[in-house]
Amino acid sequence: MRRSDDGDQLELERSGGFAGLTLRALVPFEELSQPQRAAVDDSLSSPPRRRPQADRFQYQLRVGERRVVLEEDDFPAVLRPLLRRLSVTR
Amino acid sequence: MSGCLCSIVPPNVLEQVARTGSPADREAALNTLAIDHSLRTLRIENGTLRGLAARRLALAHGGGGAPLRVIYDAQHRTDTHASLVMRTEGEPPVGDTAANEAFDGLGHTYRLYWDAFQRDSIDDGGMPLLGEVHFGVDYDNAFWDGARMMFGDGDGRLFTGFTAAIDVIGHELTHGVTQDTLGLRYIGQSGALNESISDVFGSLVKQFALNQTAEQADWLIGEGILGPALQGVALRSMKAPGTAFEGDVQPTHMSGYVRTASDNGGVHINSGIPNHAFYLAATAIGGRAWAGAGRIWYDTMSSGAVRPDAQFHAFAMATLHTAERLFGLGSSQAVAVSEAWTAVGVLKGVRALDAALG
Repeated sequence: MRRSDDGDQLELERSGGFAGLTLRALVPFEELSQPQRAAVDDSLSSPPRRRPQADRFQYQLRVGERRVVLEEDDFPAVLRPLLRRLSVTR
Repeated sequence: MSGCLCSIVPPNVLEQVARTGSPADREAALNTLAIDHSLRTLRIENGTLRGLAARRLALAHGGGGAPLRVIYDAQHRTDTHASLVMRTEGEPPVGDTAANEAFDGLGHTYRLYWDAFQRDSIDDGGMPLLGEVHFGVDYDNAFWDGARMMFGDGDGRLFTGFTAAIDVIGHELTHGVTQDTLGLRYIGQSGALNESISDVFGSLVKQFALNQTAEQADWLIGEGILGPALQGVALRSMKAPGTAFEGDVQPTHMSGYVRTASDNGGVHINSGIPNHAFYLAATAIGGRAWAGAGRIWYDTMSSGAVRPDAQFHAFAMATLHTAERLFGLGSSQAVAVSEAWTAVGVLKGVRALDAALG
């Protein structure tokens, strides 16, 4: 997996939902398990087709220059524990 | 009248019989589906069958004018439609606040659409209104999935649940109406229009339930569901976009239009512009908003004159044409609509001047 230039980290963003709030988290790679790293890499390498649905969440994964946007149903289950780290951006 | 198939027949089998069986079997299957909760668990994609079933249900309940509600307990699951029924039409309140609030909110939404616009449910064909409460774990959202309304309980930090605000329920079911009418693409300006229309009718559901005038209404969306981590009174304000809570960045004017890749192009942010236009039109027209600006917006939705990829300007012109058709060229209502869209920077004001000069 290619690493970001500014600290080898995953930038995770959740936007949308009824509220339309945007929440973000920065997760250092060393805190990701191997399955989580693989899920991030798979998502970045093979992005699923976009199917925007009203008021569902939308997730963005960014690693360095690589970025993918995922619909709520396409967000890998193995990454769900990371959602606890999200906080509201101002 | 034909008999009913045994209710232990799985819904998918009933659906298959209703679609392909002999006339007698189809009748029996539809009867069973109509009186059984099974119907309410189906995601009927076949339009013909959906229409038949909807008419059957409407007839069974007096030909429209009364909702058919079912509230299910999702039991914190998200992977499949729930089957555990908590409350159905005609039953008294149950011992679950979210279930009762969802039931009442679905009813208030049905009432606005039927009493104000003579629309019989989401599809105007008596479609049952189905809701699931306790969706997911600490789930901070509510949404319409194309067949059912899903209500999370909130995580207690950002949100305290989503059934307490009837405008939220009206908002979500209106996504179903929009899907059934304009089919607005959920991205960019057409997506922001989709969101705004849901806020408009969500607010009207609340105003109708409280019998408020445009002046009396609070024009807030999501009042009463914010948790302690969000400082404010609601999620959005149609009267004063950008002021509902700390962190609300909705613009009131095209000069503040936000370009972003998040949230499908900022559909929940830029909806502030058409939201404010509706508020301005409704308060300028005065009285009950569903009878004036609401009628204009609803007729525009159901006119088929707006494309799925419509931008703000096209929708604004469509509402102006509707106002002129309903109330007359140069009418106070048409002028109010024109001036509202001009005030938020979507129209240039020429039509407003033309209308005023007659």
